[in-house]
Amino acid sequence: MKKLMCGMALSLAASIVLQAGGVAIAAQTDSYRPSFAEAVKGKKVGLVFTDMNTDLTLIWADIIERDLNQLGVETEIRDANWSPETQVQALEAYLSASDKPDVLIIQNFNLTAAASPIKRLAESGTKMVQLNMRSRVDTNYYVGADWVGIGEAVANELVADCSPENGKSGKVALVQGDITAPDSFFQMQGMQLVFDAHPEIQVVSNLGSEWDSSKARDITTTVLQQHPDLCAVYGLWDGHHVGSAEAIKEAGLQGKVLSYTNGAGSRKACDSVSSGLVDKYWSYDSKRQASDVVTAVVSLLQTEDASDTRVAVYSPLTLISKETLDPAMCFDLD
Amino acid sequence: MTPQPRKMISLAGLLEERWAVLALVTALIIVAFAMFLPGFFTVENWVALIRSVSVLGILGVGAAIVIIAGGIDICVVAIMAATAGWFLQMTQDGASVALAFSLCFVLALAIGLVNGVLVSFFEMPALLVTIGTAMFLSGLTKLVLVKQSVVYVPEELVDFRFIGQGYMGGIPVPVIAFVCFAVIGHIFLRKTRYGHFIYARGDNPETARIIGLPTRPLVVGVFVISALVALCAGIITASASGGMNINISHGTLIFDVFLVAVIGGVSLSGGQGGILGVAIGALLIGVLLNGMTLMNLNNIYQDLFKATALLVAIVWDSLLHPVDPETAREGDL
Repeated sequence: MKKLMCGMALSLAASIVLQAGGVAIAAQTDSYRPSFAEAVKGKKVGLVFTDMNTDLTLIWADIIERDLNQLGVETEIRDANWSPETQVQALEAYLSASDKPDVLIIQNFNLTAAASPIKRLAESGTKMVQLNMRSRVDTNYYVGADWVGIGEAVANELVADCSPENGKSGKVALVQGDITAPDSFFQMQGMQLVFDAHPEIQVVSNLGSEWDSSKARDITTTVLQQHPDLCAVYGLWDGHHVGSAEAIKEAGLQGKVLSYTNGAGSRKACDSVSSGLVDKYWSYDSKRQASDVVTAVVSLLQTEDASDTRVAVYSPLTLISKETLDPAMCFDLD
Repeated sequence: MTPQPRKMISLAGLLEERWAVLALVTALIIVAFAMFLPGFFTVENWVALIRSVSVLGILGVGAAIVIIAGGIDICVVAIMAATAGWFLQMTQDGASVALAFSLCFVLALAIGLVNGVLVSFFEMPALLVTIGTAMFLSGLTKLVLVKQSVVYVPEELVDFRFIGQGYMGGIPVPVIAFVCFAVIGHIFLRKTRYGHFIYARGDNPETARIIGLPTRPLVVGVFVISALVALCAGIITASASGGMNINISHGTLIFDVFLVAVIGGVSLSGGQGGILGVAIGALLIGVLLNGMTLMNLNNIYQDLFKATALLVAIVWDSLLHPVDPETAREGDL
């Protein structure tokens, strides 16, 4: 009986201790939630992209809209339809709009076209994220590829693969898209840094294709005629590089003339490496970029005064080659 | 019957023929490039050179026929991009080549008919009509016909690549296609009754109508021809470069098409010029682009050269064929 009483007393004591703990847990609140909910409530985000029909922009829009809408943030897309003028008009319209978006996400065509409206939007207090292709004006966030870094990485690979020290000609051809586009401009900066230190590498051709694969093809065909000992062709965007790759293939030089390019990392990237059209592909993982943009937007929405905020989020690079190829490296669009 | 005296061609007379002057200028540039550019005057480079302008030349043939008839078709590059992009999209989605091509043929035919009917029966300016249809087609393509702006040739279409990448007798298929289009275009314009009607309509639409020529069906016909030529050019381009970026309809290719036609002697006033000039015009552009690529001159210089050539050709055209106030109509170019 005494043992029973003792056991009951112990379980009563344990019950009291546990209940007291429960009261303490119940009293604890997530102090981030109210301010977060207040920051995102009724907010609007505008997406101003160059063309809503590329693998890059489709996957960005898909993820950004899904994640922000889930948080209760309204989103609206302005498709510039491959026209810098249309993009400038869209940004000008935001300048005079009564209900400006709380955050704008902008992918620029080139360094200059939209610089003026972006500067004025920043002066009017609009928070902005530039995505993968920046203008010459800084905004609160830049999320995207480190183009200078990609240029350096590619150039170092070209030095390693094409150097006369390794029995190669040292001759390389570069096919840009538009020389004023930020990806071309900054990649060339990065490549130049490396090539300056490696005079054995000779850039025998450095021309723009205006993003057109048939022009890339014609340029490559001519360069291959002029330089039969060409070591590599680097297309600064996978969309037009397909033309160069076809020219190499048609000349019967697949595997002899190296075919390098970069891009968003959609399924076509893995397919082109698998088929041998491309030997090395630098992917900047646009799915991850979209998630980084969501983080940047949420961060800006919780920042009262972001006028001094200047943050860069560079995307990690993945090198896809026959040796590293894994289907999981590339994404599918629904 | 007394034989007709043989027409003597004097040097001065030749210099009034635009194609002859163009041929002379082209020959001089070829000589200069051959002297100073190593690798320019080789068989391989010439094959690549002619091949690089074969699609431009094909489009130029279609454009020339419309311009000679007194119209203009801004829509050709949009048709080329839309049909080739849609063709690739359908084959990617599992359609047979025959079905995909047939549907693209119907689309090109429809656009050509719409352009022709609006210009001839509703008497709307060809420039504005074809700008409108180009914009409509561009929007339709993005919204409905393709899933992405860059559409690639599916891996399975191995035989399809022959159209743009194959060789027949050592000559690239696109070059053979260009020659075929040029020869057929030349025979059509110069040797058939309809060709002569086209010149008559372009030279003086009112007179052509008064003497009883079927000017309206004729105009519909030239726009349909132009659209179908653009379809073929698109298929060759897609096959050659492994894909199609439908945004080329926003680019400068359309100006290159008119450049080839106008410097080749096809007057924007209508009723003047021929396919021979277009072929030489395409060759000149090919020589310039090839030379500038070999010199590693950037696109800005290439565009500058092309723009200067176009301006010179237009000024020359206006001097040789001034606007006739008796036949000019509001809305004419």
